[in-house]
Amino acid sequence: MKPATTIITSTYNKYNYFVDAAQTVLAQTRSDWQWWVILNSPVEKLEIVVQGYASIDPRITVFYHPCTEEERRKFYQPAIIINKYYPRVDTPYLVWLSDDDLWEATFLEDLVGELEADPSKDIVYGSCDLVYWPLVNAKEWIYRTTLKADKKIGAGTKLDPPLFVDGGQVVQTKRSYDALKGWQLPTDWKSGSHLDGIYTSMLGNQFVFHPVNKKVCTKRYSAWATFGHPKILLRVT
Amino acid sequence: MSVTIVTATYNKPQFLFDAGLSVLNQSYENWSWWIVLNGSDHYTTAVAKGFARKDARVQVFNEPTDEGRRKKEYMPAVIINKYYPLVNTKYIFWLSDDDTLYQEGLKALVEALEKDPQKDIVYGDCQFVKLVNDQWKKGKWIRAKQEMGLGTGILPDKRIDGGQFLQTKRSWMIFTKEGLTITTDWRHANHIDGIYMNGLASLFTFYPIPVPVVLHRCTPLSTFVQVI
Repeated sequence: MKPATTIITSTYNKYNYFVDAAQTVLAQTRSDWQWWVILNSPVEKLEIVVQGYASIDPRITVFYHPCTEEERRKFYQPAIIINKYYPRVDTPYLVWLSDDDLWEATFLEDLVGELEADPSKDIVYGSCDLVYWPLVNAKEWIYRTTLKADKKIGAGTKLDPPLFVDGGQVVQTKRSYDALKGWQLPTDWKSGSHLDGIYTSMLGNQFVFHPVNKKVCTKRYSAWATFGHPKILLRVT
Repeated sequence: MSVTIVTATYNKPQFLFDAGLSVLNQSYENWSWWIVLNGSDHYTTAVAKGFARKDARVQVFNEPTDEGRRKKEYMPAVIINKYYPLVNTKYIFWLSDDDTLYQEGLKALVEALEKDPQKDIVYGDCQFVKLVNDQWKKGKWIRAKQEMGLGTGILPDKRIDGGQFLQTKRSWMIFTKEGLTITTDWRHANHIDGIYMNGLASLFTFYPIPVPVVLHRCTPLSTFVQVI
């Protein structure tokens, strides 16, 4: 089966979170996907588990994106990875999955299905719960809020997309990415904290974000930063 | 290869990680590691297969197991009975999926057997560690207590564990030729090591070496949880 959607994940040092994300991908009700997992100078356990999942499921491909600590200090790696790997996508749809996010089993069915049902649409987004881990020795994730997908945004609107959309709850056509005509995400750390906003704003200038008012994923905010900014000292070990 | 390390594992991927890394980090390199999955989940399977991708000396097997079989049979015993006969190396080592090997452990054991071909079984010291509170639920290992110096000069059946001795393949073949087997009965699960070693000890001497070879991690998360 030719894949319809390319899922892209960059991961660095959160193997136990990655495992949960992987389980939600493997549980998707739609099976026509391919998953590119980009190892960003991973710790050993992460490499083992990612390669293991690739061994279990041939739809998963592992890429190595090594960087030095110096490069990590200077550049926000997810931005570099998006700039490098998005142009290579060879499927009609693409989606970014953060390594600590969790998809509902119908994530692809709901969002890709919406794009397929109406070819005039290029970008759809669903609702998303945010949860957080309050303390190092806490027992469970705490619900924080929901990012609701309940209105159209983008394409000239003055609404500020970052308030409503996170990069992980959007599925877009490859065509919409190509329409940016080689535009590159900034890779400096200052932009790192609101990279999703920069990207969705850029897309929003040309395309409408169509809401699918249904929870499609859960975003987990943890003390364990994926991309290990050297200034972030709080780290669960 | 000279040593086959055999590990049966069931749904303890966080522990299997450390066990595997300790194998890959052995100073002695002439080993193959057989990981035998038995009805394990995706995560455990991914960890095992990840090791196999990383190192060609690692092989993953699957012993088909459902809850019905798991209720009836103690799977580690089943796996020993089935996989030990398939070993094609001179030595066999059992590594529990929640234990870790010290870097020089395998080397010390192999050298002890190589030095004296009359010996068929050697065992080293081990360390025990425990988890405190509910840390194990989160896969966070905390060293709460440790004991050293077990092993040498003491009655084997009280002092050693299946995971700290190296035996020749020959000793296994003689063991089975004598009509001895490892019972798969659940009633004997908690002392299966003792039963096996008693059987071996009726035929062979266990020779001690005063070197720590393995770290035993005692956890409330039993590998082969009996379903009652």
